[in-house]
Amino acid sequence: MPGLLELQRSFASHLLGQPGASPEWAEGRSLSALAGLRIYRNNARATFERALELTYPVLQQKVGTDYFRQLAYHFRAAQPSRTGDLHDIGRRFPEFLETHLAGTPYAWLAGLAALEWAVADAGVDAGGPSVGVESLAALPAPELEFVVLVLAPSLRLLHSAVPVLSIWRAWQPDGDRRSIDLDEGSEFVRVHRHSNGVMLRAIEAREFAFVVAMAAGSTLGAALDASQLPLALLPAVLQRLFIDGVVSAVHPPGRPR
Amino acid sequence: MPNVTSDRARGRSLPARAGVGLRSAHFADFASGRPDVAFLEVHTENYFHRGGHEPALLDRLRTDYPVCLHGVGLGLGSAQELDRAHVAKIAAAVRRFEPAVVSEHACWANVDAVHFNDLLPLPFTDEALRHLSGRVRELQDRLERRVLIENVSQYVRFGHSTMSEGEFLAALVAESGCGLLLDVNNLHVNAVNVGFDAKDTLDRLPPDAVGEIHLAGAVRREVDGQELLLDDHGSRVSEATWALYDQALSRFGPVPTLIEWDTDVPPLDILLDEARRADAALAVCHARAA
Repeated sequence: MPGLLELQRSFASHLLGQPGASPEWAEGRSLSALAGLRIYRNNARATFERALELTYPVLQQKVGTDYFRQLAYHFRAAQPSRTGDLHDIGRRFPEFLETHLAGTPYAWLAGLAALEWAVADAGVDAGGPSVGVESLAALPAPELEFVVLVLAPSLRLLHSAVPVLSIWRAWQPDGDRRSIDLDEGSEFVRVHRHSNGVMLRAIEAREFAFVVAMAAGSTLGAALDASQLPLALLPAVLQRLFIDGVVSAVHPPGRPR
Repeated sequence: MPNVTSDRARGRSLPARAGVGLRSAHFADFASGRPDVAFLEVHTENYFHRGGHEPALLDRLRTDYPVCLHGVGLGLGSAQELDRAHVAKIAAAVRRFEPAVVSEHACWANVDAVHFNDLLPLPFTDEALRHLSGRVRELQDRLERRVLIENVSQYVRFGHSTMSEGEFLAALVAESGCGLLLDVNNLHVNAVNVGFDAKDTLDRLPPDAVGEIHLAGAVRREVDGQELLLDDHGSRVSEATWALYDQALSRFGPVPTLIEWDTDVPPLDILLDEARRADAALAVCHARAA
């Protein structure tokens, strides 16, 4: 008779593969071994699908249950669950879709999935305190160029060639589900954990580049240079970051971070 | 014996009354009122993350209710290395929510880096017993408290098992110092599907070890031409399970009892109705014990 590890490997092969002959270690009485294994196989598949549906509700609605389950089937075959935390099951779904749907009319769904993962992942982030714009205003003007803004750990920045945020908003429970032309253009999206939930904001390309640079630890001056954000737009961009609660701390030049 | 600290010393203890599983369908009921249940139980993994609505709500509710953390993803009986990152997250949740009870399952869940996110059955062998006992001891040492281990529903029976389920669980208690979370519905499902006397299992369990009972519904389904019970937690507790619950209370005395409902979750009133029925059975048991 098999040892525990050998038994679990054999059991697993019945859960992942197709129904075959009844394994020698199983004893069927009123319930046959194959019928029992089928229950476990269905449970594991259904749990995986359900976890994905909870993380990707808009994608599931857009493609319909049948096609979503096909995608889940292929994703599970390529990237089975590695963890007992159901939240993590969908972590690599966007990159899977990017490969799986490449070259098809549905390739854009990978961008929608990336947005939904950002929302789900930011949603379980602890969040944290944010600081107001006064902490920046208190600094001498000559120092501002060398200031570093520490941004919220939950911050996610996404760029999609199609308007995924508009689609996502239209398919929320209170959305109008209007049809959105994929050719409407690209969107740059900022996602972060806010005190009242997850905040999503569409931002302009240069503002996006500026926040990307800030998130990488650049000083204000370096981020301006890297993003080519016009100086005239900087006050409004900074105000949005502070008012939205994206800034966790302000590090003046020469102070330890 | 492991270095186990009394549960009572680490937080609120559970009253021998009925509680319910806290599910998202009922968040609004608990956020806006104080439904009359003796305790709440949550799935530990849903509280692994610091942020989000659920941890914030539980932080608030635990001032009104004793809380149980019930793990569903660790797979203690998995033969390969224990997922210590998962254990660390359990420990963090225990520190944060100070539960009255921490429970896990007598099951396995993963092998060769594939996790099935299910409660898969163990054979009742000496090897499985030694392995599971060691894992339970390790978990208890890490958490510095006793853990309750729950019997799972089984749809496959292993030909090389050398013990009954009752003998296996009793030996697990003796070897690890754990307590038991007796799922009466799982016991009923197994007795029907596999074909054994559930009362015999009850008689083999050490009475002092049973720290909590679970009650849930099951559904009758035909699978591959065979009719069997599926432990779906999606309906009221069956009369047969209520009858077995009465037998369990007769043997173990009044034990904190949870109404579990995980699929097709109905309005809270239905769960409260089931909880009242469990409370009535517990009241009879209390009177008998007095």
